[in-house]
Amino acid sequence: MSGGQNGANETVRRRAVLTSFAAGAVGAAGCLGRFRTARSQKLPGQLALEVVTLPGDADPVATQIGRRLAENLETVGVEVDLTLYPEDELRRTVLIDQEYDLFVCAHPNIESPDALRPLLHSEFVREPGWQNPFEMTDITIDELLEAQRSQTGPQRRETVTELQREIVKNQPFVPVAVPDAIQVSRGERFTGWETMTTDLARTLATLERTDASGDTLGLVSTDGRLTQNLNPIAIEYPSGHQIIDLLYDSLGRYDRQTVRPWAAANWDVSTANGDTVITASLRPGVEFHDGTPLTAEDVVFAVEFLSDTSLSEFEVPVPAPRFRGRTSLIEDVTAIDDRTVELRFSDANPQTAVRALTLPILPRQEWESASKAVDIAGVDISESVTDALVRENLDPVGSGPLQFDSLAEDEELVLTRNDSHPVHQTPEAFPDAFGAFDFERVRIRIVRSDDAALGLLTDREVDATLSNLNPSVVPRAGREPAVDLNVEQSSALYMVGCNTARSPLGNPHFRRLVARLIDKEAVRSEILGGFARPAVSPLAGTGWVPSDLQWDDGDPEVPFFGTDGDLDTAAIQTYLRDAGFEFSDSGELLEQ
Amino acid sequence: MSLLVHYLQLAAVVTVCLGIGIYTVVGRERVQRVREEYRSRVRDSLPHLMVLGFVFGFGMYWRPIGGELSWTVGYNITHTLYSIEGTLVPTIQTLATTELTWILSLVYVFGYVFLLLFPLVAYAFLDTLRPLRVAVLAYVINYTTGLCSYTLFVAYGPRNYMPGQVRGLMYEVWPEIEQLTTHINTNANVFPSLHTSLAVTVALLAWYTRDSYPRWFYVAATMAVTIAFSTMYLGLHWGVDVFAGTLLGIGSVWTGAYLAPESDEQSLITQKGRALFAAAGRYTDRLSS
Repeated sequence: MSGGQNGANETVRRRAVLTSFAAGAVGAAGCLGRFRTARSQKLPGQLALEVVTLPGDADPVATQIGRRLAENLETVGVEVDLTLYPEDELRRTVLIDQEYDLFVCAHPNIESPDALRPLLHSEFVREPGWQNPFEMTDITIDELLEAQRSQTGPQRRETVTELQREIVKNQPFVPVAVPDAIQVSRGERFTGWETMTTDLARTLATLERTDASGDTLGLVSTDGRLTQNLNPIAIEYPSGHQIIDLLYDSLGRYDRQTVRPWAAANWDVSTANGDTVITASLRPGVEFHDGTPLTAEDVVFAVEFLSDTSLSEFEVPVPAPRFRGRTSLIEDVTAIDDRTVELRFSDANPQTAVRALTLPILPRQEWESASKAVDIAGVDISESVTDALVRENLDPVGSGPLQFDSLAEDEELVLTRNDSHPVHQTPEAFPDAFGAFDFERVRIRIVRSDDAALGLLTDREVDATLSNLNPSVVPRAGREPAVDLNVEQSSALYMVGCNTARSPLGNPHFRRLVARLIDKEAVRSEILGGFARPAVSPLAGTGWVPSDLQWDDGDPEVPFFGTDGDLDTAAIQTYLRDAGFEFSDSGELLEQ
Repeated sequence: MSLLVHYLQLAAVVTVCLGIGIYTVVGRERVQRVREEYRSRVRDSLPHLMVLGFVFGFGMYWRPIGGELSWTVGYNITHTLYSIEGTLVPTIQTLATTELTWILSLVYVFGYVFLLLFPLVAYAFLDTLRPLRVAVLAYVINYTTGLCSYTLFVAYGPRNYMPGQVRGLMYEVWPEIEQLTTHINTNANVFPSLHTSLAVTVALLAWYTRDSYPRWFYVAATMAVTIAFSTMYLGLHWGVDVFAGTLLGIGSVWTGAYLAPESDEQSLITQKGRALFAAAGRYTDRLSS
């Protein structure tokens, strides 16, 4: 510094001191600048990623996929933290707060191409629930998702093929495997068992009582949430809700991926001014469990309520996340008369539009009051959450073929047959797949583990499992006499989701690496015991996958980076260096 | 089988074990001697047990709140625990046989409850109540430290972290018991192992009282080692949990012995209890007259 040179002259001492200060300040500023430049150019630290998934008690398959991924990422030189969350916390972290790098879990149901729209369209980036939790914003994918919605026939198939290729190229999430639904039953008291998945109304209708005295159907589930929350629209509880859905009616119900008339006797599909219009006529005699008749006005209310549970009271609409994809299709809904309702869809082909007919019909008297903001002890905690989305609804009033009877938390849920329901009064008026229930009561017992569930079944305490079993108990179930195994392809999908808003997962090359670190064949054979199919496309559980995206002894797009479970680390390092990544001398992968 | 049946079963088994314990460890002679002054014994020991009951009651009330809280403020350390010890638990589980699983499961559930309750009963028959005071204090320290740790740290056990590699052995042979264990514990609270820390506490206390109850020391020490081992064998706890639990057990006995007053006269809880009993006695006297 220059201060010392002026200090020799006594008369200008004070001045000199001031000068020296100024000079020193300039010097220090220069120093700081150099320091900052040097700092920003210092070697980046090791890349750290957090993988979040469920604990073994909740989903052992997800935990194992997560552990294998974490180990392989560590081998590549990434610092990994594998964090286990219980189901509701995982949903909060991933689907609401989006505070994660990678997550592993099963998407409950991807049954049609339009189910991909809320999942991946950039329009849904800010919404909670399975609404673009990957924060994916890709113009090509957006355009294809919009196009398939209004197209029909071969043109739509071509778009959906193109869409799948685009998604698979980008890997916003890695489709890992489509698991089978595995359930067990015994045939002494009821015959005609099928797996109880999305088409539960059909499954229960096929059951035949063999013993006149056995009026109660005994089921067992490992999902305790069935006794904690009976809200059909709650965001934290999207899976395992098939039985709750039977407390409510919808205009149509799914039967083997086709929507068939249910509360509606029939519907007409027409096209007017480029819009698709569905006019549905309600069946006579449908009543809510409290005795009030179900009218077209209730359908209008339900659609409007599910589209905005604040009923336009909040500045920003608060849609029910579970039904967001379906409500977003509907342009307008009107009651023509008491029994006729008209739904108008813009940019939606009839095939996509009928999905909206599966929305539950909620009684206005029960739900209108739930449109206010959530408050705790009288204080509004959020302008973006309504009471409807968080209420437990432990005394549900619907109009469905089953009716709530009683529950004991974590012990059991009892439902009774709603004898006044048209499906029990006039089953012949319904499509063939549906029919009356041959039991008067359903008693669902709650246990913690598959082993305990199997124990109840072998002790003849229950007739079947309602929840899906882990493949690891299949050998034990097979050894039990008089216990039948029901296996069916499910529409669930195990996936590894990437938070594309976080570096380096915004980089498609890195996401493709993540995909190539997952040995999907080993997931199928070792973790899922062969009861699954490896997935290439997100639509792997449907008939929409083109031949070039079928699993063929390996993934055609992102094959496993190694052989027999061993990673080819040299090839991975070359791949990453080509993509612009660097490694430290000790083999750590560095932040970009 | 409902939860109530499980609790009744547990109570029945533990009561029988306590009876056998009193007969063989405490002995007829001591029981006879105390019978003559049982009123003052009950008066002086009951307040301590009530304090213990109050702390456990508060713990039951706090657990769900602490559980919620720990997801917001707690550290998720499961992966760290795994990084420290790796595959220790799956290695231990290679020893698994059905017989061993049954023995260790029974010790884990019934043996543990007996091990905790027996000192509280047996020490009430000693000439001095200081061992009882130390035991109660040590239990309270164990439990409150455990609660704080459970709120501060979220940790799943090996069974939840390594499904497929670590088996839930107890639930395989004895699925019904799951209802009871999940009613008492949540699966995200494994650090430290309170089973281990309390078992170690009882074993150390048994060492201090070995002159009065020589047999009990051998029983308690054997059971403590078995319980600590069973938590890992059954896939419920990490080795690190057991290590931390051992330290907590040692620390709590040491602190309890340091804090517990030497004589009845110095014990605040005893004095308050005596005053309370005296007041209650006066009240009933007045009622009857």
